Amino acid sequence: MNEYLLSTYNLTKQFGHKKAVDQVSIHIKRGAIYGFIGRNGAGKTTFLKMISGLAQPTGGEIEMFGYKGKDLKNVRSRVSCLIESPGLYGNMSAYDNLLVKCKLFGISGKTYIPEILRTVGLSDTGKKKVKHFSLGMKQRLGIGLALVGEPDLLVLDEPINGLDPQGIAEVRDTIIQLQEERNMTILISSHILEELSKIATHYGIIHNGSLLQELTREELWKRCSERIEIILDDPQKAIPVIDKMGFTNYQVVDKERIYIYERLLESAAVNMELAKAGISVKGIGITSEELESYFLNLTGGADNA
Amino acid sequence: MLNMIRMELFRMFKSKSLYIVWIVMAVAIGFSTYMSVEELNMMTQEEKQQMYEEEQKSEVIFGLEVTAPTKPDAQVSVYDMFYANMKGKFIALFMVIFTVLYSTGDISSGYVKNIAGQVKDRRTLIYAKAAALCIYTICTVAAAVLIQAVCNQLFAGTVIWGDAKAFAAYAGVQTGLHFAFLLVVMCMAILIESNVFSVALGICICMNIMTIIYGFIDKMAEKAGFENFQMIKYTLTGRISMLGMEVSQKAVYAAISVTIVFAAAALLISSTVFKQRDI
Repeated sequence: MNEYLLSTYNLTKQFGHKKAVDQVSIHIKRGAIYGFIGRNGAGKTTFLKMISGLAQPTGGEIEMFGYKGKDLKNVRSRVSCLIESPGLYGNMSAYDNLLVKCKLFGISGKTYIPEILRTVGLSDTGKKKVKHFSLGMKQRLGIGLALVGEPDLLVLDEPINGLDPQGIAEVRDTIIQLQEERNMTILISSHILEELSKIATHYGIIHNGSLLQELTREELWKRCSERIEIILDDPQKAIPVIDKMGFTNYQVVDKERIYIYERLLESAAVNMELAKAGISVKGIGITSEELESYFLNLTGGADNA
Repeated sequence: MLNMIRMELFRMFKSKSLYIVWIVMAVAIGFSTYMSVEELNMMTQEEKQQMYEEEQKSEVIFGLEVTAPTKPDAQVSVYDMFYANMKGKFIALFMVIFTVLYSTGDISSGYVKNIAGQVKDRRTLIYAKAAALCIYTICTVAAAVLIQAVCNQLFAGTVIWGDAKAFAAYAGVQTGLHFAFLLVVMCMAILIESNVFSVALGICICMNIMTIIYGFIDKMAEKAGFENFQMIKYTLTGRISMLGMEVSQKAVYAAISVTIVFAAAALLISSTVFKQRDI
């Protein structure tokens, strides 16, 4: 059995000459909360629409639950989404909005709908019309609608957009609850990495339609965590010295940098040992990186934001 | 498919616009009945005869016109007024407005994003809408008959139904024609993606604006050697206007043919576009 619930292979969407999504290949494991990060206009929504069956790809392939090509239609009902703003009938109550979708799935709403309303924290809305809901309530109802039919994959596009801190916390709690209680796989997009980092187990970073990186939460934290940063001409020469000092958790990042993630107080000793070995050190110190600046550096700096 | 139809019917009967349009239609039927009865009451026998003869010519004119086909020596019946309102596309006008609002309601609200990706074939959503519109057409025609009866009682002081057999045949054929017309309107609304333009276009069609184009086509056909060719005979609005009170078998077949052709074309186009289009 495929370890991935969803994989895309060079998925592409082209509008005229512009490629909104350019050969994106992602891999999502069952039960994961996959954070899809990118700036506004990076191609997140277009990509998610293709995953949700709302837009046709112009190239590449999607594989879900082991199905691909024309067979995908057999598993479409297992993928639910909340894309952009929640699509709701303003003149209906939350219950009736859910009932419309329940009818499509042939579900009796009497006990089912109150359970969904409880899950998304809208039990006490009664007959209040949706047009009178706050943005946070609408967003949670949108998630509630996506839950109808017990989907295995939930696709959420910027679900915290425009919400106040309390609204963000409510949506975040709902998502965590869904993953924990129902073991649901969740693909969630955002341009706020800091917020995603509180819930996501895996990340995909998209920029200008292309996937830049795919990494786990552990890998991301490692890249952003505190470390000894050594800048030198030839990192390869320094490796025997670092090994001799007993360091095991380190990484040669590029042609002039080594990160050491342990025994952070020993940077002076490292410097001394390297000097003894005749290795010229350009710079050494304790550094760390904020998640946001990591993301900004990866996508071309704050100037492009 | 059955679940989709249930969903569409629920949505339709939950929408406020359905009842608002029905109420306005009832008021309009009342108004047209009142005006017709008043007009007939004020006319001399000769004027009634003249109006009856004018009405029998069955010409399709530009604009909206409701003329009771009541014989000079008879009392206005429910069938007379129902026929006049149907022929003048007075009922169709309200049906068009609701159809545009209903058929684009899920798209304009964004609700369609919650469901379109989860169905095996997106075209079935259009077929379900068509089925709901079929129920709507039947309900609206039935409602128009009932409202007409009430209005006749209120303004003419009596309820005379008219020739029941002819009435039933006429209402049945008109229901089919109106249903096909609503499918065309739904198709237009889905293609245009603008409620304002779709409603405006629908109203213009009800007011026979297309007769200008049909007239041009007729002349072209005449030049090509097809004498007495009348494009309007092959259109839904033309058939709605030209269907006589005494429905002949030939008229039924012609109406059914036009209904099937237009309904099939509208469904094919709207479902294909809806399937291909990104949401």
